[in-house]
Amino acid sequence: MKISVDTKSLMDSLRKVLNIVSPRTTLPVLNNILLTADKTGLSLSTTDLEISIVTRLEANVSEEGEVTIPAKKFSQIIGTFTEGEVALESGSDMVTSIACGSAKFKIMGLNPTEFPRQTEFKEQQKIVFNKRELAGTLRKIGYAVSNDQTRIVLNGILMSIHDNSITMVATDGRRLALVEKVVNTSDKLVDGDIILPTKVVNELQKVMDGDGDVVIKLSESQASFDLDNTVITSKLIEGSYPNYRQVIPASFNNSVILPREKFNEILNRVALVLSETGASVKFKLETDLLTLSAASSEIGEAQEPVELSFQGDPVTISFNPVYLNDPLKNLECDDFTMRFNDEFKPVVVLGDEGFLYVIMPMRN
Amino acid sequence: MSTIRILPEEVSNRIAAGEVVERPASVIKELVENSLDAGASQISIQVTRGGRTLIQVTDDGIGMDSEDALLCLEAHATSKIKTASDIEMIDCFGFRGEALPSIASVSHMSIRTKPEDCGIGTEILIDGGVIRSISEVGSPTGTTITVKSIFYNLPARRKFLRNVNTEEFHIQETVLLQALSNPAVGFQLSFDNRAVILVQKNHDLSTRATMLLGKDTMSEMLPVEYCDDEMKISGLVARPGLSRTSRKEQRIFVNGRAIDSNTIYYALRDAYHTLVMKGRYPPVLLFLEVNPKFVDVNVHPAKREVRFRNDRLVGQFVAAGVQRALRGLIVESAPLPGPERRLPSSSIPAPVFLPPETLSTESPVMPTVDGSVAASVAAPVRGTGTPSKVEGGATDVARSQAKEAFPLAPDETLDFGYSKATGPSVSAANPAEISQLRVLGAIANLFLIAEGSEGLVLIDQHAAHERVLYEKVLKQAISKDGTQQGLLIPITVDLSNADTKILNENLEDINKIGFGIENFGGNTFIINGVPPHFPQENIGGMLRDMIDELRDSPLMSKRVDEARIARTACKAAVKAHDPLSDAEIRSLLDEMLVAEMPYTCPHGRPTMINISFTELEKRFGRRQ
Repeated sequence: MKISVDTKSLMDSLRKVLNIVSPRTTLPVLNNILLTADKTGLSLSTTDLEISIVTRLEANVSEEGEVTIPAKKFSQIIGTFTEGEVALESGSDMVTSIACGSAKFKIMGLNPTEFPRQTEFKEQQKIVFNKRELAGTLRKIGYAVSNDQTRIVLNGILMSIHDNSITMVATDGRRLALVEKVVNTSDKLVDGDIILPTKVVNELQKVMDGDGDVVIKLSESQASFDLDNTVITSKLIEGSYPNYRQVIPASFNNSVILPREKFNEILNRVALVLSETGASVKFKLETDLLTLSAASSEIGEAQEPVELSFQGDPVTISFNPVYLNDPLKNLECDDFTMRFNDEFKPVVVLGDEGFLYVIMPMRN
Repeated sequence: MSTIRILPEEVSNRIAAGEVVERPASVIKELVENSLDAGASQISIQVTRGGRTLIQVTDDGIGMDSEDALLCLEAHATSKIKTASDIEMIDCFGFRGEALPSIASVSHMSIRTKPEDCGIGTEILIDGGVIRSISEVGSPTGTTITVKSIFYNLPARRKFLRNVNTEEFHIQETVLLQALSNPAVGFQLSFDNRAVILVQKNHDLSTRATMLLGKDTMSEMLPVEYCDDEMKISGLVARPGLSRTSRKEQRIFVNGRAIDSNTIYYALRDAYHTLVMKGRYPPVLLFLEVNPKFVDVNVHPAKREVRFRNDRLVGQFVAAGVQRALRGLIVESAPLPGPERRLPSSSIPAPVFLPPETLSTESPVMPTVDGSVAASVAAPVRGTGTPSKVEGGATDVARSQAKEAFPLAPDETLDFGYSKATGPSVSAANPAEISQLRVLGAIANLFLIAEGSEGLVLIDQHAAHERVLYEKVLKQAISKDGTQQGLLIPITVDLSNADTKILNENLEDINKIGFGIENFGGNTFIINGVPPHFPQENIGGMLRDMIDELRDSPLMSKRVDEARIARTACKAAVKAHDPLSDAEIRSLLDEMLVAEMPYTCPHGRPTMINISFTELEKRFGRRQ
């Protein structure tokens, strides 16, 4: 392999693939990046066996070939070069020569044949998303994903396709966030549920910049995301997701509308007197008045009224403020709606189009 | 011909002897219990060669006429119960009617007895269960039973007898337990005509306990006195800091009978939770009185075990009683309920006045620390004072106990400002004690050094701060108890039958601290809610761990999140080698002052130790 490539674009591409390289792995080749040079340019591949990322960039290829190189060292070296071109050259000895300006390196790699290759991807269907929209959706629900290793299905985002509408759901068992979107396509989508691991969602959010589309391809056990020059492929989480529809109350007695940003400010201000996670903020609702209050024995107490329009019976509901702040800070709408029945039943937050959030109040 | 037959009495007695008569100590236990049941006020026990050659128990009880004396040798002959229903309400020691015939069947026995209203006594000689002679003899009122050559006809069992010292140790422990639980009775125990235990009728429990535990240990014990409608507990428990490596010194009496009871051991562990290190046991001497209806003593032939009708209740009661006593440490001003009869109030503090005498000074490197902490910290150093063994010379100690103790007391009080409420070590100090400490500085940025009214006080800054923080966090957690974060998606847990039972029994308590767990029928439970600070991960696993905890200790005093709280406290506490300013040290001590249990860190290590002036003076040769 013998190529030369622009330093800056090589570094940009490296950043896209580096995250999933684990420093601790029993399979040494997973610490490495696979460089593949062919007529169309250079591609960089990394994998942790769950997710693999391949990104392509332009390069002057004078000799095609493949080589692996330790990912961290390689990016450290390239990161010190500020401009110009980098020349990469390797022979059959698995050593890569790196030259930029007057600097020269010879870095030892591993046999590229050891690098785990993609298994065949049997595409069952293809969905096209707007990048900005997908990034927004993931942001609006991603915080609710559980990290409980004993309930592995909750460690990901559910993507449920039904009647040409796609619902993305995340829950940790205490609150649930979802965004529903109708797909404008002439083709009929195949109904089904898949669960995307959190890790791939995080990777996606890093690479989704600018406008354009993401092509999501689904197979039985994998999903791939095609954006510009990068393809992320991930295994899916096996298992069945809990029936999320069941936790959404069918009807509500009460509904209030609040200004999102202003209200979130008040909520966070009142919560400042709470000393530890797990403490609650009380929402006292009376006719046309909501009073937020919080107290802790070590710090003190706080309260602040919010005017709103409310005609129902007075009620006091307690929430973990973190669970409310999460959706409020990630939404985009000006006003949001809170719907509820009483102080014990699940409460729903509505805001951006297609967004729905369910939260369990705290009991005292 | 049938091969199954009824065993002759001689054989069945020997079998019973195998259960009841394990070693000379068990013979003495049975005989002394008979004497006690006979209303004796003075019991004397003579033992030769660890009981192999001779055991003789003499009492001044009601005695027996010749007819009864003969009858008592029949199996299941007893005067103590009459009907089956009496077994439900046993208030005497014996009742099985097995002991005498069993002992008689494995030894040469003689019974000499005379009831008060009879002019002449009876003597019966029995060899291996066979009556050799019955004669009329002159005798004082009461009964003397002599057992010679025990197991002479059971060579196998005889071989299993341990050496004289071991057997003597067991005998002594047996008699001491009897002496402790029967303060109205005088006891005398002699080994080869050398008096080992001598307690007079009027020796109260504290004197007796001092003999048993040794003076040092006694000075580290706290009185317990607690009762409700059904039960009453009294006795002594170790101050936090004093502990042993085995349960041997946890002596428990139920209705005057020395017993082993896991229920009570667990209750003790619970009461001392965070006050002793794992694997260490605080010495206790506890007398539990329970309505005989609620105890079954007919469980074990030697009656070492009892069953309570309601284990949980008894456990909770004992834990509560002991905890109160341990708390009494702190709230010195709140008077403990007046001790009623086992613990005359004047007697308890008495040993406290005694100067520590038996402290060993063998090791020149390790300063012997006075008091309770020494017991755990410097345990190996004080080999000579093993309190469970009262050596031969102890008789003298016991005899002169009162003489020795009281005249010394005023001097000691003057010299060192001992107050009645405080023992000679800081682990026994009251809050005022901590506030009076004059801080001298810190060494190695690790130990704070202070002068207290009783000596030099060393404080482990990390351990002390840890305790302070632990209590704060625990208080916060408790104040939030009952708050519950509902789960949107409930978690279902399937348990084993045994676990289901435990969880069902404790469901109410668990839900009180913020869980929302419901039995969903059978062994399935649904978790609808958890305490808000509860971690997200593995709730089902947490529940199982909780059940394991509950299985080991059936009382819900251990919080499920205690380990987390202790960890938080440990992390946030100042570390060893963090330099502290004088103001910081002062404020740490002030916080210790209000801590509920300032003497140990949440892991049970001591936070402070005291080296008494006495000890310092000894070290410098100012005092012998």
